[in-house]
Amino acid sequence: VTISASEAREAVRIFIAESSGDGARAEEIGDRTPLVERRLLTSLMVADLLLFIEELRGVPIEASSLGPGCFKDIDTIVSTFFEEAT
Amino acid sequence: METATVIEALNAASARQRRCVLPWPAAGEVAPESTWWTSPELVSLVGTPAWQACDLAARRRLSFYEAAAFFSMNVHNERRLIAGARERRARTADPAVAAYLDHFAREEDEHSAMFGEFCQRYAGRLYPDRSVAFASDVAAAAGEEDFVFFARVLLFEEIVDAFNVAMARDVRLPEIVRAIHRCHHRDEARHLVFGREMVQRLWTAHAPAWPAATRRALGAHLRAFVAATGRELCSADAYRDAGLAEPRALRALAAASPAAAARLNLAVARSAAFFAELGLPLAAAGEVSS
Repeated sequence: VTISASEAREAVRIFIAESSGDGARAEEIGDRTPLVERRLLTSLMVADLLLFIEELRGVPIEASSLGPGCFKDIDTIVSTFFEEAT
Repeated sequence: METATVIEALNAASARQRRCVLPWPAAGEVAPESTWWTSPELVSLVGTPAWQACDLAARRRLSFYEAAAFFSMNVHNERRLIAGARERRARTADPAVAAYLDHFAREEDEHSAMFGEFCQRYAGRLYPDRSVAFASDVAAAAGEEDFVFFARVLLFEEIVDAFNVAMARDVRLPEIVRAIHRCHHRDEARHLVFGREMVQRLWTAHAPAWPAATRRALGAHLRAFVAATGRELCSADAYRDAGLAEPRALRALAAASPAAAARLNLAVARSAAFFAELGLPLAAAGEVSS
């Protein structure tokens, strides 16, 4: 992992805000905001998000073991993909 | 022609179809820089400064890894199509549709084996699948899930078929690559007819009861699906394997380029017209990739 959990948290938050296409601002997305439920994150955005996370981590992700629950909110994304940095 | 008659004709055509026999060269005979593996006009970086910066060897190398990425993308999407087809096969009450879904799943399975063989033999691997399905992407109106499934199948197959048709006849490509594209197109031509029939049938049965908001959401979802498929055609894995720096940035650059939008819009033009005729425009002014 090449980035701290707190840096990853903010980077992912900004990435989702910029990708969501519904005008959401990063500061409106809290750590526990339900991303999938509010459609801030759709399945069609996941490939781009995973590529972004891979770049932050510096290692590839095995996506076949991932389910929608891994993307529930920012807290869950950080704990799923950046736990080594916490 | 009535829908049932069309599908019965497709069943008969699939039953007559023989498996492709492909001229696989030995792995040692395949050198990425020796020739084109993707038609150069269809390489994702065309139209960007990054393409201008590549010499001929680098362009050909990228065309090789993009071929592997394109075939990998097909394998992953076909796995989802097969699962969806089998699920619907289990619950359809229409024997002609059931029979065709059997043909469809079998043919997609054969395509996946063919695409996978190329990737494993010559690129040494299948590129990873980074998709994760969310149940909440579509609402729960009656018929909506089936409509979205067949609409996405139709759009995906139309896009890849445009690439198949162009590369099947491109004499600059090795015979094995042309044969794979030719073989895929042969079956996809039937799948596209089936897809239009199913989408039309589901639309006629359910759309009159869908509120305007549902129709708008469906149009937006299908538009986003086309755009996501366009981004899938720009493979960061292929850029990395081709030795290009900053593959994710290159992917963003390629996906946002006017040339990529033009390729995608051309590939999906027939489906966009079909959906517009149904009353579900995918985009205004022919732009589906934004």
